[in-house]
Amino acid sequence: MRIVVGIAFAGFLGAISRYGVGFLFPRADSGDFPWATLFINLSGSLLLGALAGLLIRRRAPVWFGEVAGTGFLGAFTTFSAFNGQLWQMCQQQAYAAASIYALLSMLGGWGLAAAGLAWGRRGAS
Amino acid sequence: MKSIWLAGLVGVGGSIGALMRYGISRATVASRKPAYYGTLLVNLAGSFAIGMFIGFELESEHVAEYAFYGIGILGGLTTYSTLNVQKVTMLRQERGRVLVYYLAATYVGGFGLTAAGAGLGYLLHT
Repeated sequence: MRIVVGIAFAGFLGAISRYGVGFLFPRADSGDFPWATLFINLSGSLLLGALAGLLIRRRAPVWFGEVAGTGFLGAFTTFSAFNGQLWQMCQQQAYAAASIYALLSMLGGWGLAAAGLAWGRRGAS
Repeated sequence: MKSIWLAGLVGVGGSIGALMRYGISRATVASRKPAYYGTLLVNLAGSFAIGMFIGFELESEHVAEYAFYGIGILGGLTTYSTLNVQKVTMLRQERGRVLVYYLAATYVGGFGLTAAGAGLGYLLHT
């Protein structure tokens, strides 16, 4: 039960943080590159990798993994917005930008999650 | 500015979305299915729904509803960090075939469902 409350609270913070980061980047209204979502998804993948590494080494309690990983980072990162933006970029025939966005998200997030996992397993200090 | 009010809607929606994702993840584990089944389900469902919202032009016509359902619930329900950690894990465990199917189902399926949702949304909207 405490984990459920923790995930609800962390999900609130994760979504608000995602909304807030949107204001730090130029608005992705009209065919602009969705820098904010890219930043969110890449940084979230790095952090979840590091958290997974810490959990493997049992350097973090399981409840913390659920609250910070499933709750905060899960709500912070988004797959629906990624596909929505990709669709809108294709609608505006910005195919080159859409391809770059898709590749950076797919491969960059993968690489950063791997780097985060290696970092978390080895220990940050 | 009413952006504080909108941020609150995003937060509450994100909370609900995260709880839904957690519930689906628990149900996946309980039914002895691999964890990525749950991730795939939330990501595909969220991709279809965001397509519908785009078709309905929710973002420009109903700002508060879009903040709650689109940015909040769907953003909280879907996840990209878990997907990337799963890709790393599958590669490490040399489950190459599962990885290829998972990538195809996630990216091709997700984009296709967004397109289908948008098409359906446009039809219902007009």
